Amino acid sequence: METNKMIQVELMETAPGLASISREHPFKLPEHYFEKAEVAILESIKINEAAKEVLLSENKEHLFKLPANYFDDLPGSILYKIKEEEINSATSKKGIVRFVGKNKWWMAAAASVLIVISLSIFKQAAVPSFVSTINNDTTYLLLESASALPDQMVVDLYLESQATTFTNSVIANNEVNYLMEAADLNNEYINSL
Amino acid sequence: MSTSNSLLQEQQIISDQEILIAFNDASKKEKAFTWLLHRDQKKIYWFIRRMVIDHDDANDLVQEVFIKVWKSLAGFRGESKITTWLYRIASNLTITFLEQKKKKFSHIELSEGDDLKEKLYSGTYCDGNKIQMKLQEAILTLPNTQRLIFQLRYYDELKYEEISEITGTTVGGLKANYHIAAKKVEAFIKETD
Repeated sequence: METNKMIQVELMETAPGLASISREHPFKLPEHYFEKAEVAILESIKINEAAKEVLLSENKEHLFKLPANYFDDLPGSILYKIKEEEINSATSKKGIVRFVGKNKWWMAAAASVLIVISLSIFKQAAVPSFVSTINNDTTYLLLESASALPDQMVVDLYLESQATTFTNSVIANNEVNYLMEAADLNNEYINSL
Repeated sequence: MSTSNSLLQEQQIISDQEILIAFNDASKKEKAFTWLLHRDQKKIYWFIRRMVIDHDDANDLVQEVFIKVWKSLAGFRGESKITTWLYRIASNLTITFLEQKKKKFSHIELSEGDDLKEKLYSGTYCDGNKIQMKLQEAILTLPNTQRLIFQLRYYDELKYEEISEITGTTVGGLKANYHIAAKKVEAFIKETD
């Protein structure tokens, strides 16, 4: 009671406007809330306790059965498995080494053949794509040296440019025309071939 | 009815000592806990309710507080009053709840304060006069920790020493906080009048 008065005096000094307002609040409760809440709290506690009892119950270890002497035999069987795995992995490593050791000349020859075949396939596949992506600088160089090219090569380039699309041909049609000029060749000559 | 009232009165003045002795006796444990519920549940409910506004949220938190108490009361060392300890548990749970709410609202325009204000005006169990509503609205403008200190002093009428035990703040700090909070609340009421 003394505290109430002290709090009121303190409030009068700090915030007299607030001190003059009633402390009643606007919050309401459902009917018989506290009685029901008490029951609900005790119910939740009982449920929690029951769950805890089940979890801590000594019976839990009897829910599952074990083979006779399971735990006595367990360390031995684990060690046996570990050793077995160690032996297996050592054997498989040795096997690989022995195979390679015995057949190293035969394997080296096979690898060489494989490399040669792969390279020839790569060369065949790579050349067209390389030629088709020939850039402008390369074309310029080709034109620069056109007079030095054999006539037949220039003719072949011309025929190829006529037979293929722009993107697939070695050089573009107009570039072939320059090439032909540079090589002192003309359409009449080509037609006469 | 009169018997039940006198029983309730008897239980309300039951001491911490009696509750603790009975609680540690397995045959009286539940009875002791019921005494504690009768004695303190209203204080704790109203403290939480004024902080979270919504009845359902308050109900959940009260249950959580008392379930925690059931689990830990046997180990209670009696360094403070049981009620102070209950307030401490309730404060921690309430502040955690409000912080979670704040995080939930951090990415949208509505703030946690706006949400509580909306609950104040649209809640099922909120119905007060203009002054009462304005006072609650003013209190809601305070930061959560300051609001908690204000509630404990203004409504629960606790001594600063008790509030210090609950919040872990120094008495000096509490006095300063309460003074600022009271001024802010008064100013809000005057400004919006």
